[in-house]
Amino acid sequence: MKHVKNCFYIVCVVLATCLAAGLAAGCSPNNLPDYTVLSDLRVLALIADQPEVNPGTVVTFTPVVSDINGSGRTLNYTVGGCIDPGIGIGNTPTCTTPDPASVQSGTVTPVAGPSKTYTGAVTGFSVTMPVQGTVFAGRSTADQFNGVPYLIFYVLSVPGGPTVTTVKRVVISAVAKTPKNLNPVITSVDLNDNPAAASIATPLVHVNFRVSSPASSVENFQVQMPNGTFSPATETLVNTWFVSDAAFQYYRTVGNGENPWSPPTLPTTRGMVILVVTRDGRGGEAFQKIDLD
Amino acid sequence: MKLQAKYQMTLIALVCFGTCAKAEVPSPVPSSTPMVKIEGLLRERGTRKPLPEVNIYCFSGESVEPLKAMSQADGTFSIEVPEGDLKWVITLSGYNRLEQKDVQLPIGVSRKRDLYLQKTSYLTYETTVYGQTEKRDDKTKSLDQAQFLTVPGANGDPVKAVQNLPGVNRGQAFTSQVIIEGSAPQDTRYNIDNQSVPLIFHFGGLTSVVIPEAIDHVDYLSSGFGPEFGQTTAGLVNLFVKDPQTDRLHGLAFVDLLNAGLMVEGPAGDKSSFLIGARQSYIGFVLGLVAKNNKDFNLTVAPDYEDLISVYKTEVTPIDTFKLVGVGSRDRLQFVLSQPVKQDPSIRGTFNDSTDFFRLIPEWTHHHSSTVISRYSLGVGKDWVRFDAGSLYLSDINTVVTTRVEVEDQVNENWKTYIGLDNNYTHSDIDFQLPVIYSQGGVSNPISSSSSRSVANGYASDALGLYWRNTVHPSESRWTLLPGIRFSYYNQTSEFYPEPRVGARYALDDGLTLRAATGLYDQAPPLQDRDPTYGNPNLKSERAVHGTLGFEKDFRAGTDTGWTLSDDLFYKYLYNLVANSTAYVTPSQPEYYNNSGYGHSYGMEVLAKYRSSSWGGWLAYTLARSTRRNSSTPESLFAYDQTHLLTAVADKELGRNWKFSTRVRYSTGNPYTPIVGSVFDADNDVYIPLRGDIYSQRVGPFFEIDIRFDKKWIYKTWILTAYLDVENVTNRSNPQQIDYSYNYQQTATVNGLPFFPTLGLKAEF
Repeated sequence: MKHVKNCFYIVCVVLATCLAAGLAAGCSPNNLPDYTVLSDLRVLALIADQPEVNPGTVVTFTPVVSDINGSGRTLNYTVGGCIDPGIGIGNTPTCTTPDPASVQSGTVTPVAGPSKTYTGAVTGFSVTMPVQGTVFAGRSTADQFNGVPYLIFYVLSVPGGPTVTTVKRVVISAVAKTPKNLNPVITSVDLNDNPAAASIATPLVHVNFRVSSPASSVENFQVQMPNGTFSPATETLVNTWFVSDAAFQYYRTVGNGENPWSPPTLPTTRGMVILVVTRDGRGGEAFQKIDLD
Repeated sequence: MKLQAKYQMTLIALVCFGTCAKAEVPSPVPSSTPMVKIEGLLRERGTRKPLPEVNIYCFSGESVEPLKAMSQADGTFSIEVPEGDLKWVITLSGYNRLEQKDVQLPIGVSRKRDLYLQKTSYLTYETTVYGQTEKRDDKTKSLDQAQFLTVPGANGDPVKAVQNLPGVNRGQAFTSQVIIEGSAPQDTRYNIDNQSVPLIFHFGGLTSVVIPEAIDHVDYLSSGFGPEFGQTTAGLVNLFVKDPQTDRLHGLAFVDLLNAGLMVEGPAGDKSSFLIGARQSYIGFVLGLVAKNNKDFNLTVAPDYEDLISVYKTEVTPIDTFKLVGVGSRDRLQFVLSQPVKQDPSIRGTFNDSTDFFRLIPEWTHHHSSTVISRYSLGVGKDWVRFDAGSLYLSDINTVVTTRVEVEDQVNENWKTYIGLDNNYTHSDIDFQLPVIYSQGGVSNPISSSSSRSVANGYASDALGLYWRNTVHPSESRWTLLPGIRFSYYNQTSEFYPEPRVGARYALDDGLTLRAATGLYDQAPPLQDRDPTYGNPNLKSERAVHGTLGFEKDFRAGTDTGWTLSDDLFYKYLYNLVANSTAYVTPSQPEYYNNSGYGHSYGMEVLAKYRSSSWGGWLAYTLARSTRRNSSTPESLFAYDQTHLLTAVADKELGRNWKFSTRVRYSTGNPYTPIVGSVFDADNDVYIPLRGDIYSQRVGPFFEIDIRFDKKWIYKTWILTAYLDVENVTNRSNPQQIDYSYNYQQTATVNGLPFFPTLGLKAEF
């Protein structure tokens, strides 16, 4: 008993202490690429039009892709789906045997956009979720209420180039459960407290960005515990900030928290792009992009 | 010159008289001369220890023939001297010669004189590196206070000093846990005075939870240890609190970069004594200053620790002794992250970490006869552990009662036996909401991608052990047999295990002894891992078989100086190990854990020790291999597998109470699991790593040189000690682990401590 508690304690303490020391002293510098600065082919979000659905529902997905250095190259994609094998407890994030109806493939081409950064939404796809008898077979009442995750894997590849694999879960819950989770909404991305247009001139001085969302985007929900009781919870919206040049002060902000940014010199061959993805922690996603010239 | 030569000859003669303690010197003073009576006390300079039965010579005026007195058992002396100038002369082996002039004395007045003799060295080591204290088996290695206080790189810490012994693997990163012969660090059991404590280090490895000066010695038990201890498959580290000194009041105060503290001890009546000490850290103050201007990192409660130790010992009757030890510790840390960190969006908000515990350890020792002794001790206490990280939290409150009873009987000259029991009762109130962080091969999945578990439950566990240990040494035989057995019962798992543990020694000659030991060992699984909803209620105890074979050769031929050499082969088979499981019992019920893990750990340990009058040291080398496997992973190296582990420690007295010591360490780099790819988890904004072959690669080797200087200044009634301890004096970059880019495509190496000096001061009387 005490040994593992000790171990857990030690891990927590070491984690916390290192985190504190690292943050306080700004130590552990390395030259690893910055999460929020876009360069290689990446999927930034995979947005389902409905993050939580009834069994048998058709769900449409929109990938948000960045391929700044790809010059508009054509990307191959494949899609498959299966009931989540248990990523949450450590199983490999893949579908060993995808549901045949979910399997599809094709090509997408990122759009250059005003900033010529080839960053934004690309052509999507749809998948029909399994029916109740399949998805709820052997599942507890709590699982049916809270929902069974259906895993979508989306693989982008370039012949002779990189392959990027993305997974996304759609929560399939009992028909009787209402309301179901909805995607958050981004009302605007504010620049120094004013809504920014989709395409703006590059600021010349240090600026602050923030995400504005309606209060209704923060949903209250219930979680059914294994013993049948319900536990109330509230979403927290977390925004991830991506930028083509010069990192933001924060990788992520919570709610409408400000994120300072000092603009660099505009590149000569293209503009810049800022893209923010808002997540509700339950599979709901939204994004907004601002091109800078 | 002639006078001086004559004077010296006289003194030589006096020294001879001094060594022939009872010789009478005829009085050099005529009987008609008025005399002054001087009463005094002869003590050791610095420690104020009374020096008994020492000849004290007093030269009066121009007389070349001295008066003489002898100090009594309590150091007091009395002498009558004539009026006029005086000069005291004292010579004693192991002490600097004292020659002290005295003022003119008024006639008829009795005067007090305190004389202080200074030792030639206050840095004198014990004559062995370890192991000459009474040991029940060959697997016990001991470090006493004089040794662990000055080991370079350990900053005087008794548990960190243990890491220099053979068979102790070097920990990863900045932890200081004792990893015994390829076992997992959490399998090491930590005791204080034979009673378990929930943690031994503040903040995972900064320093032990007791003042080092309050520890008499630390025992380290590795594979093949006897039946007195259970609930561990690896071994244990046992700190023994010193008995308070009874001669007079002693005290010390110290300060270094981490903390400051006080300790006092002394007699409490004729048959009792006490000790009390406390420490307070101030690392939080330093960190607070660093973080002061960082608006994103609000250090609301600076990381700090305090600890307290108290001892009361009394002789109740001539055959009964009672000792009460109190230990308390408190760790605190809290900070606020204004925004999520880059690694994982789940890591945000308020972080709080606190651990408090106390133990009261009463022990009663009763001598039934000259051959039979019984000991009864308890460990009564409570632990409070609280950890918050944003919406994740853990609260664990334990009420603990541990018991140990032992009867020791020297049945006859050939047979000594020990019969005892130990019991560990814990009631835990556990409340947590934590992710199921899947970790395989040292690579953990992101918190955000992991399922979350909430548990609020009370558990009661009881682990009972009964043991019988024997030492059989037939007269005239070269054999010593150590048969023993332990019976362990775990109420949580309803398991009962008989665990035979036997050892044997064979003395080839006076200096060479062969030895062997083997036995069965086990430890209960963690309570919360058996939770019926969030764990596996069918988990059983982890088990192990140990075997050792070795020899010890003493080249000292009965002296205090010279070499000793020991060499042991060890083998451990570990089975029923608790392993993470990714299987499902039903579609809605993950298995979480199972007992599918097993592994081997084997190797060779060599220890060569040398001690002369002025320098000494030891060389510890371990060649080892440790592997694991479970139902979901093939056999691989263990996380702490280190093929070569070499530690050399040496110290040298430089005179004038200066001492230099150094430690050189080399070890094979720890294995790690390469990450061969990743999958972007769009729901949680993190990348999930894809593991390559488990522990198939290693970080670079570890090599470090530490040095330490100790200097003592001896004043009449107190001693000031200063030390400078420099870790990694060559500022070598020692790789500790691999850091990855966000998508695991690129790597960087995280190095250990750079050149790191620590300065400390200690005043004691």
